Amino acid sequence: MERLLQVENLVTQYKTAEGMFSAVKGISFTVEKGETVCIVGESGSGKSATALSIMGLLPANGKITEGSIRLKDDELVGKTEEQLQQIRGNEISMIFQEPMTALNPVFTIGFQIREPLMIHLNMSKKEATLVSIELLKKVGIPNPKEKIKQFPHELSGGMRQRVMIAIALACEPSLLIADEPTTALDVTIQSQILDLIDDLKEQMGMGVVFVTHDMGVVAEIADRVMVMYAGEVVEMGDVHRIFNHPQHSYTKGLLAAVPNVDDDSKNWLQGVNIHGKSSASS
Amino acid sequence: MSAEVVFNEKNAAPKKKERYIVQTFKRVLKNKLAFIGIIIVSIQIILAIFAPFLTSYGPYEQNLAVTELGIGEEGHILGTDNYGRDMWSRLVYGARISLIVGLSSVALGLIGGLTLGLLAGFYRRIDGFVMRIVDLLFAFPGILLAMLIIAMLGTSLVNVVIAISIWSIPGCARIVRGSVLSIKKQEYILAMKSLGASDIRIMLKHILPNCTAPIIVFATMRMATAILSTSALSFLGLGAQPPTPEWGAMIAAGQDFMWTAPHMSIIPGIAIMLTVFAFNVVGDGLRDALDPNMEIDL
Repeated sequence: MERLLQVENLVTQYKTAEGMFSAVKGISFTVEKGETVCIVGESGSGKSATALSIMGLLPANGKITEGSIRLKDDELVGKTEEQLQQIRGNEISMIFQEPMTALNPVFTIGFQIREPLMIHLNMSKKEATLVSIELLKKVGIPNPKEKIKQFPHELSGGMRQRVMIAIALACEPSLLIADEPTTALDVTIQSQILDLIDDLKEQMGMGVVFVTHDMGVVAEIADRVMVMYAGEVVEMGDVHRIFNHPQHSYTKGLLAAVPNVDDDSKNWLQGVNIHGKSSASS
Repeated sequence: MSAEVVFNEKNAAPKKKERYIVQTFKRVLKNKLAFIGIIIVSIQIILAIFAPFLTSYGPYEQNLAVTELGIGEEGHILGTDNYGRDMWSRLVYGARISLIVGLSSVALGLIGGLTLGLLAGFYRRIDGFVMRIVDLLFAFPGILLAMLIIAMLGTSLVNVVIAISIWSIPGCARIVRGSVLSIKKQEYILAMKSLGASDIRIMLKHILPNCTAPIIVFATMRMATAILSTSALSFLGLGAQPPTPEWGAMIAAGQDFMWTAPHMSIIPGIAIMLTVFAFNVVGDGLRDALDPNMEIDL
C-alpha cells in the first residue's frame, strides 16, 4: 500500500497559565492510502490535538514543538500559513463533531459547499453550483436542488453532517480527518454516516483518520486502531488484534467500559499510569 | 384560505418561505413607535428626492416685498424669512442636506469602524493597539472632537461630514470587534479554515455577514446623532454657511427674529426634532426585531 501520512515523534504543546503543557507527547503513526486509522482515547488524551496538529489549525496558544508530519513525503510542519491554506480543504479535509455549529447559520447550504470549490478549483459560481448538487447527491441527500437553497437550521443533524462531509470532500482530498463526527448523532444516523464515510473512502481511495472515544464506532469503521492516553500512544495495531487481544490494561479497560445489554455490572474505566498498570491495583 | 383551495395539491405544498429581511421588516412594523418613525423617515426621503417638484419657490429665491410672512400667508405654506425666502422650500431642501450629510458621514464612519473592528477582533496582535486608539477617540466629548477637526480643516459641510464620520468610528469599531470576537470562536470559522480559506475571505465573507444586525442598528441610531450634530455645528457657524438652507443654520438665522417671526427658528427646530426622534425609534425597533432571542410570532 501507498504511504499517505507519516507522523513522527510529534510533540504538541499548549501555553497555559502554569507553563507549557504537552497535549501530545511524541507520538508516531502512519496512514496508508485507503486505510482508516482510528484514534481512540478519553477526553484530554490528545486525540483532537493530534488531529488539529495535522491540519495546522492549533489555537493561538498551541504549537508543534517537535517532530514531523509528512503528507505524501511533503513536510507539513514549518510550512507558512499560505502554503497550508493550499493544502487544507484540497489535500486534507476535516469534519467536525458538531454539525449544528460547524455550518455558518447565515448562509445557505449551497453557498457553503461552493466555497471550497471556488477557493481551490477556481470554479465559477455556476459550475460550483452544479458540482455541489452532484456532491449532495453523492452523500445521499434527497432533492439536492432544493436543499442547496436551504439554511442549516432547516436540516436535521444527520443531514447537516452529510452536508459537512460533502463540503469536506468537495475537492477530493487524499486524507480525511474526522473529529468525532458521529458523537452528536443518534445511533441509527451514526451508523448511516459511518457507512457513508466508508463508502466514500472506497470510492475516492483516500485515507481516513477517525478520532473517537466510542469503541463501537471503532469496531465498525477501523482498519487499524491507535489508543491514546495522556498524550501518548499506549497501544497500536490491527482492529481485530486490539479487540481480541488487547495488550495494555488501558485498552482492556476501554473495551470493558463498553456497556453490554446482558451484563448490568458497571465496569467503570479505571485511570492507568502510562506504563500500563491499572491505578486501581497499584 | 377557503375550503376548495385547501385540497388543491399545489397549495398543499409548503408555502414559499419569506425572506429573512421581509420577516424583520414585518416585525419592525408591529412596533407602533417604529412604524411612526418609518413613516417620518419615508416622508423625509420623499421630500428630499422630489424637492424641486414639491416646491413653487427656489430655496435661495429672495423677495423683499414679502419678508417675514407668517404661516400660510400669501401662498407661502410655512411663511417666509427675513429675506422673503419661502420657508417650505428651505425646509425641503434642508431635508436633502440633512440626509446627504447624515448618510455620507455614517457611511464613512462605518467604513473606518468596520475595518478597525474587524482587524482588532480578528488579529489579537494588533487588538490592543487599535482599541487604545479607539479609547483615545472616545475620551473626547463628541461635539468637541468634531469642533477640533473643523477648526483644523476649516468650516464647510464637507468638513462636517469628515468630522462626524471620525466621531462615529470608535463606537462602530467597538461593536464590530465585540461581534467578531464571539463569532471567531464558532466552529464554522474553524471549519472554514480547515477548507483552506484565507483570513481576508473569512473576515469579509464569513464573519462580516454575521455581524450585520448590530451594525444596522448602530447605523440607524447614528443617523440621528449625525443629523443632530450637523445642525448643532451649523447653528454654531461651523458647518453650513448662509445662505445654505441647512436646518441648524436656519435656526441660527431666525434667532434675531424670535419676536417678530418665531416660525423662522421653530419650524426647522421641529424638523430636526422629528427626524432625530424618527431615526431613534426606528433604530430601537430594528434592535428588537433583529434580536435573535425574540419570539417570532408572525
